[in-house]
Amino acid sequence: MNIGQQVADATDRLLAAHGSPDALTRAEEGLWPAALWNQLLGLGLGEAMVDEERGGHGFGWSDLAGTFIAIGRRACPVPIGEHMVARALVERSGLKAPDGILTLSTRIEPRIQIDANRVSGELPAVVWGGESRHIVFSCDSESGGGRLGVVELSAGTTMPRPSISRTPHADLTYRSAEVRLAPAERGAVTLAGALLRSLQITGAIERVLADTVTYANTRVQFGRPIGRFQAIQQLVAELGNEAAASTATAMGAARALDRNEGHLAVAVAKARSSAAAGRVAAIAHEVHAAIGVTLDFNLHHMTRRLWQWRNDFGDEFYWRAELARAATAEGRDGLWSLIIAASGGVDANAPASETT
Amino acid sequence: MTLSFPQPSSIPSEAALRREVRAFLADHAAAWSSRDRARSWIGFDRDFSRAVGARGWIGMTLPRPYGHGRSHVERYIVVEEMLAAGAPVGAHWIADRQSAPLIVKRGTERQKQLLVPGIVRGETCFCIGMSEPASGSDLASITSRATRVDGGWRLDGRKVWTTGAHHADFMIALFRTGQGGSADRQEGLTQFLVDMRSSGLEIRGIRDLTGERHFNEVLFDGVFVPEDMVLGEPGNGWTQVIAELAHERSGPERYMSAFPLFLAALRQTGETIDANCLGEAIADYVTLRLVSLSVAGQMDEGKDIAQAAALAKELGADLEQRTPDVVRRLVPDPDEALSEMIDYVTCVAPTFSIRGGTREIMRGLSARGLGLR
Repeated sequence: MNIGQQVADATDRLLAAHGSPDALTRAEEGLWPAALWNQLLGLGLGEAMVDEERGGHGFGWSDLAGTFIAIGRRACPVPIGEHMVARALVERSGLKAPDGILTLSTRIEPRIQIDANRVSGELPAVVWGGESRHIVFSCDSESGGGRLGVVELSAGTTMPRPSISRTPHADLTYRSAEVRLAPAERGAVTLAGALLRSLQITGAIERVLADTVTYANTRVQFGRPIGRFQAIQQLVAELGNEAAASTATAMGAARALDRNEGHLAVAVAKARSSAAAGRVAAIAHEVHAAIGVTLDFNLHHMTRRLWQWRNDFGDEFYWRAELARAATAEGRDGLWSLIIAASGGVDANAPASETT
Repeated sequence: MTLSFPQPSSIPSEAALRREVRAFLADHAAAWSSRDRARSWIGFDRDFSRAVGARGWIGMTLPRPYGHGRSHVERYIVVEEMLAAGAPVGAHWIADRQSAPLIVKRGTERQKQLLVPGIVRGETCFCIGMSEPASGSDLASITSRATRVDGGWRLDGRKVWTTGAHHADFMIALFRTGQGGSADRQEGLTQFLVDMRSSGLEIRGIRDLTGERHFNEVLFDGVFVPEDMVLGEPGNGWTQVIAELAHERSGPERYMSAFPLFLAALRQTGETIDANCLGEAIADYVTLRLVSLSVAGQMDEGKDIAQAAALAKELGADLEQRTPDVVRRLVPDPDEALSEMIDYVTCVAPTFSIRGGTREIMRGLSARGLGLR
């Protein structure tokens, strides 16, 4: 078993132990799961994606895909995924990551202005603002290149906002607050956040599929488990199709982002997994019928996250528009090449050095 | 329980292979009208198949000395380039995709020597003898019978929906050799290699709603098949057919039938375009490529792909069937050639989710594979 799988399994076990429906409800009510957070850091996750030269483990997206999927599958009530990704982006840009929890704004176009080393404006829908110390965000430079910014939460005004997942979200407003900046790839946070959510959605769908199958096999009506009825079987098969689509595209995007060729693949992954999230939630609720929409039953913990994560870092409509933009930029005859590239293939005109 | 669809490693020569295939296709493409391309892998052209065979692109995955001993992923690259171009691969398609692999796996040495070289050269054409008038989705209910006679078997009955039977040299046909009855539904079935020139065999064409004839009914009235043309074990037909169907369901043609139409449409989009519609279609095509390519990679690893192929086929058929509507949305004013392509694909689109097993049957298979009892 490779190291990535070991980390994923360890994370999954830890999250399963801490992820009872009661624990998730208490987290929604504001209880910070401090013990869980410390144990996740104890696994080395915080620096997992940081390059080895900068004190990390040098894992890539493919290595950690299973871990991010586990974070989704177990409805993890702490921002470990955001923290891991934010730390990696900060270190890769050459900045030293500050102490404390790093988080992200989950909207794709923060409304901010940079003036020298000062930031003003709004970073909306920041997750886990209560316990996090710094926000990492992407912005453009004057020359049109990309930048990464790191700003303290305490330097801004926090306005909590409700979210469908009922995990802590807040809008942060800044007035000329000090910010550390470094050159980085344009939209790096959006791209990384979109892939993180695609993998989380994949994990959540896996869990919902398993729970739906269990329910269909145990709920008896008309003298038999409802899973014996073709109507239910057809729905569950469709759920399985959506699971496959989410998994395949998210894993493909992980590989692509590791090769620094991620933009198209991530767009596909987030577009497809976001669409899958909605369909999966609908099917699961249909199969579970009334019990599935009650607060006491577990399903809502997963489906509200599916509804949340499909919107974070660009919903399916945003990323489809990105794909359409890429396709029209490629030109009328470029679509086949685009599809090959976005699915990890090597096109005919690739130079020899890219074919291994 | 969930299928994971891992990606195969890249083949080292992928770019060069694509260049080779595209250059070959460019030499032939001038002869193909937009309607030819719309027909995609149903298009039948023996000369083209022979040319493909001469390049070593038929029987790619068959082990040497029968074929070229290359990987399923390499075959996949070649095949998807042909499908993207709308090449008329129909004359060698069935033989390459499923008949030859079945013969190599289950056949006698004599059968392999007799049939496989012609397939690999692109000269020998096969058709599939499975469905009957009263047995479509319920394939195990077939009643066409094979009776032992001196030196072989006598076949009586009828097969239907047999694509290309009027062109084919051979059929791999499933007949009942056992007693029949519910205890014996899946036992007692045997596959036969039937020479389409046999006496007692009558082929009647069936025109489809486009007016074209691809389907046929094939009547067997005392057709003699010698003992050495039984394929595999008598009574093992069901197991063999299930494996054959996995091959039939496994390839990129299961999501690319409407792709030449999609490509053609993009050349005629207007100034403003429905970005959501286009982006969704692109995301779906990429998704299907990932899923479909994974199946090829899993075949190279010797995995049982029956579940994965059923899922990929169902997901792919849905995309193929939606593509004419995507095109109608993106191109409000298609020219005559594109209009004809849209109309043609619209007419044949219902078959995309029927051939090789209906969507509803695939979903039943998937549901069982996912753990529904």
